[in-house]
Amino acid sequence: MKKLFRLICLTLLLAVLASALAACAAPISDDKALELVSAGIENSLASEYFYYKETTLKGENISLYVNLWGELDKNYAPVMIDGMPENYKLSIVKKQNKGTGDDVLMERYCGQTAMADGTLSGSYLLSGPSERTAVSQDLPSYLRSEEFSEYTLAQKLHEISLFTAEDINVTSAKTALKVTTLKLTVNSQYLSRYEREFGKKSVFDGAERVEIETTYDRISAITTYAREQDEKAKITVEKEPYKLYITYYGPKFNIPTLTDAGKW
Amino acid sequence: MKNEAGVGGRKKSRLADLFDKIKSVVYNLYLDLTTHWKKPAQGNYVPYKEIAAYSIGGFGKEFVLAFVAFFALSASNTLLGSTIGLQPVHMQYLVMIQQGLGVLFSVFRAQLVDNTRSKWGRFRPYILTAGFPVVILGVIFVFLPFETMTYNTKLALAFIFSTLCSGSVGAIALLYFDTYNELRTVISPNSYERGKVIAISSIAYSLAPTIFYALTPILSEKTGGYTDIATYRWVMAPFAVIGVLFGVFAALGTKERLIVPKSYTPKINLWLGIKNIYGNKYFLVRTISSIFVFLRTANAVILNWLYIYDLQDMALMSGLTLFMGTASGIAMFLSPFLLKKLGTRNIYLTKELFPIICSVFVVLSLKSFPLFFIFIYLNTFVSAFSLIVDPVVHGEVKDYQQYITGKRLDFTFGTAGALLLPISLLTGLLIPFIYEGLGITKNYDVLYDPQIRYNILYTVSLLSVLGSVLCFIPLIFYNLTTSKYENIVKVLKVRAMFENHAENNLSPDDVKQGVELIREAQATCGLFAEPLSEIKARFKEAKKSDLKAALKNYREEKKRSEIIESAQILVNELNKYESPMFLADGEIAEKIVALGLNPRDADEKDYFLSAALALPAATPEEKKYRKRRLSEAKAILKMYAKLEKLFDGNAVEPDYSEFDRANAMPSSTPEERKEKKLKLKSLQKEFGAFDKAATPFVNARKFLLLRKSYAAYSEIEAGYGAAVEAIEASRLAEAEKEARLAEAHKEELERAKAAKAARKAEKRGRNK
Repeated sequence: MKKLFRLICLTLLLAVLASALAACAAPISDDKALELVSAGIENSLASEYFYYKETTLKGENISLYVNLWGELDKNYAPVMIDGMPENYKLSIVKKQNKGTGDDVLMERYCGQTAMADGTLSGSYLLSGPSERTAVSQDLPSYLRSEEFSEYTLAQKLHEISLFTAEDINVTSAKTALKVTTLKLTVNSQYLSRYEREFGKKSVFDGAERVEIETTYDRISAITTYAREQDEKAKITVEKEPYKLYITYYGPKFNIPTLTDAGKW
Repeated sequence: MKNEAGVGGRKKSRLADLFDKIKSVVYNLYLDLTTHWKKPAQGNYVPYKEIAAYSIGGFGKEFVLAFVAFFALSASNTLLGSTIGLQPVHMQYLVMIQQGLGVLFSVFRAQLVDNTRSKWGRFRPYILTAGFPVVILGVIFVFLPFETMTYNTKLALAFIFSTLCSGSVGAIALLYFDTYNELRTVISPNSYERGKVIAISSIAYSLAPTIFYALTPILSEKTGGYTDIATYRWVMAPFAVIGVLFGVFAALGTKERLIVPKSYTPKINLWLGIKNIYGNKYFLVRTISSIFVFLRTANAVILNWLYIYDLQDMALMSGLTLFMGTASGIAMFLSPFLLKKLGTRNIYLTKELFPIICSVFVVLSLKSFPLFFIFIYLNTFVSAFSLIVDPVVHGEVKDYQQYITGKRLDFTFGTAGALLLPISLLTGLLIPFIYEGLGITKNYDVLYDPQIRYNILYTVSLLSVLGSVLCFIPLIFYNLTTSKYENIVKVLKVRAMFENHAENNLSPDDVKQGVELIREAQATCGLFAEPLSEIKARFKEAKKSDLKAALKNYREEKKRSEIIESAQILVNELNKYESPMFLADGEIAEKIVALGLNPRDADEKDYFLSAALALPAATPEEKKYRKRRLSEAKAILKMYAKLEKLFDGNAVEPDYSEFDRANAMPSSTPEERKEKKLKLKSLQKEFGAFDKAATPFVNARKFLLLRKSYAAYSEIEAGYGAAVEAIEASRLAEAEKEARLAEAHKEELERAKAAKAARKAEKRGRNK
């Protein structure tokens, strides 16, 4: 019995040591971090599908959900029919959280749909929520449209692709199996340069630190952290003014059916 | 034609026979239920009314449990994980702190419950009161505005509420759930009846999670699914509110029944209790096995994640969950029969062995949902035996503890188990580390990605296979057979008889039961128990000619041999005071009592230490005995010092009967109740202080009293005839009363039947 007990303890100790060692944080240079980010962006943009949630808590508490979806085969590759992914569709939902609940600010659905009775089927772009309109449009052309350009994954990853080694200071880098987390600070030169070049503030403006996460060598999360004074409690609290979570396959969804030609 | 009619007639008559039989079974069941609704059948302890109350209470408790299960800091938890977005490893770090606090809470609960001496017993007061704060806090938590909170605030709040309310570690929640679960281990002193009560109540209350998990997916479609906080606010929380109200039934409608002498009052020294528990080999093997449960259950998350992230079909989830509920229902229904047929140990080991096979098939079938579902169903079916079998095994292990130490410990088992905390703290990091390493950090939506999902699922499935094997290995040493356990219970009953005799509290039932048990054991021990090796050798030879007959014969012979060997346990108990160890202990006890509480002579005080030091220590047994005696000698010296300090050399043993007198004080007015409460409290304090200071003296005196009682067995046995007569007279009176009751019931039913028939006839007449 004693032998068994010792054996079990030893096995457990080894298992724990192995996992502890595997989880060790490895310090890396700013250049190396940029390489990781750059490779992550490249791999992310090569993905056929994506689903991201962007939360901006700067004043208005806006959440944006974008899901570009299609069928996958057994090897997790898109199922192609006539050069287009099967059941290819897109949804964009923008919400504002007002504490008591969410207000939907914008809705777009694009892909194959039909009227409830099966007539008038085809590829449509559905817009809402104030006026629910439906116009005939195929998804590839919408994905190339001006309106969609601000919702592309490339657009969301644009800022981190602008980083140079001088712009950032990597404070920690941790790799655990397939996930790498970089913690960094963004310097003021970058912020003013960005504002100068693009005429708007960077999402990293006011951030005390930034966390970039890659999963399977693709960007999976960007989070900014800032300290704010809580006027009521008279304490300084850490907040997350900007969050972007990306996964490269989102939940299934249905494009609403049309109620009338031009309505849904 | 005639022939066909004949066949048809026979068929009809067979059908009518079958119908009559079913009718008769249902009628007898109804009669049994109504007759024993308030009063149990002879030989039983628990009436049906009490089983119903316990079941309804359990039904409510399960609703509460289903709700607060979402407060567990775990990545597989859809509230704290997928909905609120807490990182698996962060949650595990908090779990480490939580488990540290858990030990303190567990000590507090053990002290609170094991030392509770209310007229309601140990557990029922907490079943009545502890559920309400749990549900109130739980409801507050889900209504917090998480949407606008920072990650750290969410983490901190989740930690606080989880520490108080979670179903697995919550300080208040466990007081509620554990006291409910412990109640079933003391609801009857009869192990079979206990199993029956657990089975019936489990079948009834397992309907609650089935209803909960079948309805919540459908209802959650209106609130945004399992990943939307609105589901927990408007779908899950109302179930908990209803549940806690139902829970009250378990507290108000049950009784606690311990196998203890009538004079028994619980006096538990926690650390000594824990030390004793670690000397219980059955507790040890079960505890070592439990260390690996975290690995074995690693695959428990798969089904839920497949529902939410792969199938994404809430209606299917609801239907399959409902169907999955049948697995537990069938297992719970079969449990009492299998417990009786196969014995607790066999069914316990079988259900622990099965997950190894099942987890292998789960790995192989992971990508084929129908096949996967079949294996998960089978696994759930076998695991559901745990609901009945584990409490029965736990009850047996506790009885074994009482057998080896003479002390009844209940909640201290939980505290003893909590000492493995450092191990579970370290091992607990493994699964969250794998989750995070394979992609689940704050964003659980990565599970929609099949590549990430299946990488995680395959990894946890393989870990589950490993865990199932590691869980089973220690249980190979679990050899508490049915006959061995039965004899242990007999020993406890016989001990209670001797203790009641020592306290002048002996009833005819005690005498009849005790003497019969002893006589039976003495007769059985006189038989020849063939060594197992010989039985096996004969079986090997016989199976060549007729395997079936050889197997039957082997089983019978093995069982007979086991019964004979186990009977020795009771005979040894009867003769224990004649063993060299007990003789030596007797000498020490005599010396302690003779010296009294205030010895003046230093040499006399030192006698115990010098006697212990003079003992031989050549063999391991001698070393062990010497070690014990040395530790006892030190405790005796410590006692004299304490008594001297506390009582200034004038220590006097308190009058314990004062406690009974205080208990009998009137309590009809608030003033009387207050006075009684104060008196009991002050006596408890006074007795507790003395017992604590003078433990060796109290134990020695008890030892001598019991030894005297054991020696007086022939005197007790002489009273057997009178006891049987007294019981028979009481039984006859009781049977007469019961027969009258049954007759009245029958007549009432007949009357109702006749009235119904008359109404029918009248209706027919009117229609004509």
